[in-house]
Amino acid sequence: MYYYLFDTSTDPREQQRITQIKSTLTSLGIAGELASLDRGKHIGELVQRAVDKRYSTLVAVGGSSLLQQLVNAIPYGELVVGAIPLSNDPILTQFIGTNDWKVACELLRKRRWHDTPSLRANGIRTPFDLIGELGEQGQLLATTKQWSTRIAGGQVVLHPEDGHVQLSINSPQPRSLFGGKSPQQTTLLTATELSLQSDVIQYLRTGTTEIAALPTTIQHDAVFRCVRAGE
Amino acid sequence: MANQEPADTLIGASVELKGSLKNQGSIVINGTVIGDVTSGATVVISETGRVQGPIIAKRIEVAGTVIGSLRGEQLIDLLPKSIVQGDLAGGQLSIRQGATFVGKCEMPLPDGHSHPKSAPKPE
Repeated sequence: MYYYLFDTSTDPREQQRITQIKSTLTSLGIAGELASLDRGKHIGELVQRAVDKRYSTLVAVGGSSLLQQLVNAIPYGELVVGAIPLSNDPILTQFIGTNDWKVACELLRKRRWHDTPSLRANGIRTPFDLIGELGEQGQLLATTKQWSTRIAGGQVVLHPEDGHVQLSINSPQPRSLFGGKSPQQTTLLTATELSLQSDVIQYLRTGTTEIAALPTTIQHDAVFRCVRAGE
Repeated sequence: MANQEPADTLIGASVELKGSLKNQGSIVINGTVIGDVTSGATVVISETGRVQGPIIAKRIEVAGTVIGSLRGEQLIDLLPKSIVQGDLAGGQLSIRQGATFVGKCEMPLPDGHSHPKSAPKPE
């Protein structure tokens, strides 16, 4: 029922952790097939193999990058996805609600999944926010079929939600000459699909994956089942 | 501002948005919108907000500037210092002292009342 995908690690501490995790999974009664992403294996092949063998729960044992690759590779349907952190990864911690691998194993034993929204940026499906840092000189043009807006400086965050993507624009706070209260600088907009164009941007990334090419199209994508803490 | 609902659409003071802004929930505009604004709840144009285009919502509160018509199903509230250049149509209308309004106003009569007949022309 459980199919575990491991990041190939040369770090002896992580190797030791993997051994501990395997032992814990067996004692919790959720030991399944273990697959390692080494020797040039593509995650798509491993996911297809798991689907063919009718595994219902696919688990990324590693960091947010591996979970990101897993979500991108799973077919739409009733598969449940989970994660066990190997090291301190704030993005993964925020997403699954724990940085403790033992807690993550216990969550997987309960297999309590939540419908989790995702978005697609330049063809990459991700469950994480897409964050763009513009810097002082950066400019970004966000366009939908309904509206367009030019963003100068600051940060943009695209957050996947069920049925749409929420765009937050955190504009830089203007300097006040009189020390008065600055007006509200946050912008919140929703869209099912939008395009981002820019000549000058520091970075645009989801999790640890860089979205290199701009312009890029961002769309909301289907929800998937993910084992996470909370609710 | 009397608005109590959290806005799920918010336009920051330095942002200019062109096009059609439509939302079922509330919209708060602190920046500039050039285009039409439609909400199934409340639209608030703050003191720094400016809209060039028609606004349709259940409730509309204006503290900034609107150049365009306002259709508020339940209420249109023009706060002090607001500037509105356009026609108003709403269930209830409030124009506070200090507001500037240039346009026509249309309101439904309460039940049992009919529009007054125009005054007879002098013979």
